[in-house]
Amino acid sequence: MKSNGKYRDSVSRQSLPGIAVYLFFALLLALSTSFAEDVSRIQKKHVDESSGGTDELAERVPPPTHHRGTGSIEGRVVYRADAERPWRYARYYVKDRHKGQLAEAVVALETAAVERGRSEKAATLIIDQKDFQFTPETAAIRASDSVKFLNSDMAVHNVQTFHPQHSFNINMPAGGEHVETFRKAGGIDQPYRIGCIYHSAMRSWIFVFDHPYYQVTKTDGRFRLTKIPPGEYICRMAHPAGRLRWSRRIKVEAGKTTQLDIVVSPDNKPKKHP
Amino acid sequence: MARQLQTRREALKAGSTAIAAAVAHLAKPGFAFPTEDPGEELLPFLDMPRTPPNRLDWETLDTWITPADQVFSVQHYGVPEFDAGQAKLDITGLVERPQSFTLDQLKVLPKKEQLMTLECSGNGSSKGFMNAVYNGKWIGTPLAPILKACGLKTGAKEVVFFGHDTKEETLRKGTKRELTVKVSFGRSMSLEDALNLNVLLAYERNGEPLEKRNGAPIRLIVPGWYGIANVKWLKRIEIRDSRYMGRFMGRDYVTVRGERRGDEVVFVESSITRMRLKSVVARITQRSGQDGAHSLKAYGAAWDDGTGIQKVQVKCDEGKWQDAMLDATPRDKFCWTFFSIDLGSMEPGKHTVVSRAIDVKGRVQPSAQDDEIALKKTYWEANQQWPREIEVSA
Repeated sequence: MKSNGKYRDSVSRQSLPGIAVYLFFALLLALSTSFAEDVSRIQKKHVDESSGGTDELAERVPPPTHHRGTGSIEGRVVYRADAERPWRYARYYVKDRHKGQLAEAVVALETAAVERGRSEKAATLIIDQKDFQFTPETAAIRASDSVKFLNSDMAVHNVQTFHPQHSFNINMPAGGEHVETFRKAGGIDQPYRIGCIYHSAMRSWIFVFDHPYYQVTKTDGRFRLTKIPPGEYICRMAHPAGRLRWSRRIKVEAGKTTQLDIVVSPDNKPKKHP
Repeated sequence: MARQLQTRREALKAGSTAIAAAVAHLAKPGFAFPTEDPGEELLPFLDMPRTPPNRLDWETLDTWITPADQVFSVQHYGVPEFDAGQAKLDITGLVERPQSFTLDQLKVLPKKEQLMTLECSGNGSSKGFMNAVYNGKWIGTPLAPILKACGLKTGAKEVVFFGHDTKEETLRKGTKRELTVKVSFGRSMSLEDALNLNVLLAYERNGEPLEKRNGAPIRLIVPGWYGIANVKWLKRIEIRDSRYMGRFMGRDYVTVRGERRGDEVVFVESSITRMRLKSVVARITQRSGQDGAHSLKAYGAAWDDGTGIQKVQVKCDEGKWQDAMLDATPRDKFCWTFFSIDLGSMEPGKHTVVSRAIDVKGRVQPSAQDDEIALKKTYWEANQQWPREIEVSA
């Protein structure tokens, strides 16, 4: 795995003469290396959890200690099956049909809150094209974050999206990689739907937010949104593969964790295909 | 799964017509989750991509009439926009009496039902394209009587089928002889085949009008031939005195295959037509016994061009080929046949399970290492045996 551009730049500058310059760049190197390790750690996490859902840049979100008068929301997403309206592909997202914990659901606040905007510390998520599928299939990032697409198959793939905010179409030779930066948020309603022009069955959804209050559930269906300024929000859930939608008004209080269980069923599918 | 299959078999045996029973089964899917049967659980195939909508979901295959949400569609010139209500099908060329039919006019002609498994000729070319096959009951009117009624002229040899879908095609791109022309999607067959292959002008599938993506209002159904020959959005049938060599006959959908002639390998180019003998393990389930031992069972499907499936054999790891049990119904000429086999217990760990079909002429579905596949240099007609990998837990 190659390092990102920032890291490579900082290493090349070590050879500049002068102690002051050296110290300055040594400091810069340390910071950059730390950042690169952070990115690497996040990337590794995504790779390791490829089969069990994603934890989008979870390292950014510390445990709910309620800093500076903020609150948290935590809970789980549960899918209740209906034998009369079976979901053929539930086996990919619901590991335990009795408990129903739903993986790869995106939970996010709809907010005009203070932290709206791009992240100050952009990160890179890895989405691999392996075994003729995008892994992870569903991901969430913050505006200005990047996605490094890999092709781990022996076949030629492609990465393309046609999105109102940003479109691209890149061929991916076997073993190839491509980094794309997502500067514009589409929120929970307009994910970037990623496809491969050569293999129409391959698909992925990337949700880009302009705030930090989002998470993708793992196999336990759990989510945790932290450091939320007190106030009233609309909490929304989307499961793109299952075409499930859910939303509820919710109140966040300083120093408190609001428990929220999101229970969905075939009733949460839109009547018409989007 | 076993209960579902047993239920299906019982329904088929008990019902007065097998097709009616299967269509009725479709109305109420028998699963909430694919692993819902008590005691029997699905063993997922390893390293296989998830199945998306509009593709056959092998691991939940439980009915031999494929539900609409698992039916694939491929189009090379896009889905054409035209007024299906006003559309006419023209029959022109070397005929004494050219004719033109609306859908309603075709519907009053003799009606025929045709069970047919329809496979994309690229299906099986990679693990990412393993489920472009489906089975349906097509309803339409036979083509042969219509052609004969038009009065075939002396010299008529070729029948070309054109769709409403069109595109600008560039030949010899990048050369001084580059040529761009707007053409209709077209496929052809010999007049002899058109008159003798039970070709259908189809307007319904499984009792419903065709979906737009699947060729509405009228498409060609050529039993036993790969999907590309089953022209969608049919607009014109033209009788000609020479071979038609459009893109999808002469340049695309052409298999290049090496054939051994003594010590020499001769490469032959042939147009995609008849479906090749094929079988695939659809799913493997595991049932735990009282002694803690696991008992495995494999289910699958086999099909060909109508020659007839004699048997299907299944092999685990490096063991011997064992005969699978073929479902008694349906055993229609152009319809796939389901099979199943008890695999017994397996040691914990990873295993490979593979099937091969053998037809009534004794031809055997090739492995990837056999010349038929190993010397094939192109993408289509990928009928090689497909090993499935599973992992048995302790």
